[in-house]
Amino acid sequence: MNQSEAKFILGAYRPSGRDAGDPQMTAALELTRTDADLDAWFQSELTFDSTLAREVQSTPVPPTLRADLLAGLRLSTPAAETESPRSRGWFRSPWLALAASVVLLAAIAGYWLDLVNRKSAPTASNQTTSDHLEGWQTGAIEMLASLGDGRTRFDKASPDVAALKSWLQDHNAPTPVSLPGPIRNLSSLGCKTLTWHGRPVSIICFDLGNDKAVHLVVIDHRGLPDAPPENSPRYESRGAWITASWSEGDRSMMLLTKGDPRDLEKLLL
Amino acid sequence: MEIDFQELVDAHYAPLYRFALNLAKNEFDAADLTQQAYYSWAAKGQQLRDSSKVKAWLFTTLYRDFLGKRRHSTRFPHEPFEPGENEPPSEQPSVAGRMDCRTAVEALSRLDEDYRAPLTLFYLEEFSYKEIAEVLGLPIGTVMSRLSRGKEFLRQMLRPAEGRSNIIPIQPQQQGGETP
Repeated sequence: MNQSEAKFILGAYRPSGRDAGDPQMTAALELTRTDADLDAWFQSELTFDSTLAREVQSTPVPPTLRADLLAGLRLSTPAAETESPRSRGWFRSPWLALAASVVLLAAIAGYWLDLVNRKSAPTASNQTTSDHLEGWQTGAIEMLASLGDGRTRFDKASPDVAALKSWLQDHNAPTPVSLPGPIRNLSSLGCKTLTWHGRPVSIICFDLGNDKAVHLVVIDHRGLPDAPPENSPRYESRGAWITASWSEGDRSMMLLTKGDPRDLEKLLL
Repeated sequence: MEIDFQELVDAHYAPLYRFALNLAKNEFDAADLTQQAYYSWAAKGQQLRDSSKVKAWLFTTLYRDFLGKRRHSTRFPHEPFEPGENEPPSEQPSVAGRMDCRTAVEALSRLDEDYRAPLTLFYLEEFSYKEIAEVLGLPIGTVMSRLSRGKEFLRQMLRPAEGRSNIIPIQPQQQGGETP
């Protein structure tokens, strides 16, 4: 290896020294020990590169980027699609699968028996495929799909729902009259607004943990012909989404999530 | 393959964004490129069997996405830095130690993308020269050549005001390696 070849190779040597173990680098570094001119050049190169590296690595990152990324990933990955390799392996055994099926059937039977003993209010578990979702609701679902696949981002990302409500109010977007009890304990992810027939609609997204999210859609329903009921939520589904809609005061709201209907029920207790 | 979303984001989002910023040269597109890389992973990358390859997968995906968008975009005119044609930045650091982020990153952003992409990955120190070649889909020799010439261009742009003549050399001084 001559000096010119060594310079060519050492030009790719990261200033932190991470490449010291690379065989090409080792040979070039060896030459610096016997060639004073090469060593002087290399020290100058390291100084220059260290400074550039430090500056590039300290370029500021937008403070909301991390929250946006996590929120978007949660929206784009429904709970039903996240399997662990362990569960995939578990179902490979037919006998274990059979035993699991028996246990599951027993659990479902127990759940339904419990359901029968409750009062007759409809639940997310026995909801029907939707024909009742209004345009503002399907528009919100489409917006959540856009958030999930990165076509759009939150208008404001924050774990503080009070900050989101304040932002929405400042931007003349509707906010909920009140939040269902369990939701008040959740951290928010962000909010997004859309317009439906000239009427603003708000979406507030909450973190359910375990890479799940739940979303509250709010509209001022004054003048709308088919507002959801006031006394108990109406459960419906649209694709993978499970929804619960109700009205309170002059607001109509829809709570929705993907996956397990029981997640939604727990939030409306 | 089990990879926690939060761990994946925390491990790579900052360098990924910085790479995107140097490619796209504006924060909005850089954030979009970063988000899109993660969404692509959520959609397709989970099929990746080797979890140690996730970082390279994300950077490669982001770079390809950038190239794809750039082909269809007219928002970012191509303004490569060529010695003798471009004026250096107005602030002239005297020595490397006085470079500030805006000057160094600004100089980097003025390079042609062929140099900017490998140099950014090099200065992020996330990848070796061999891994940079894989991310960018280039031969190793090409990466090393572009690192060498790119640094020469950077030195020219960041050269101190004192000692500079008004004549900007057409060719960089022969300090680095030569293209094989």
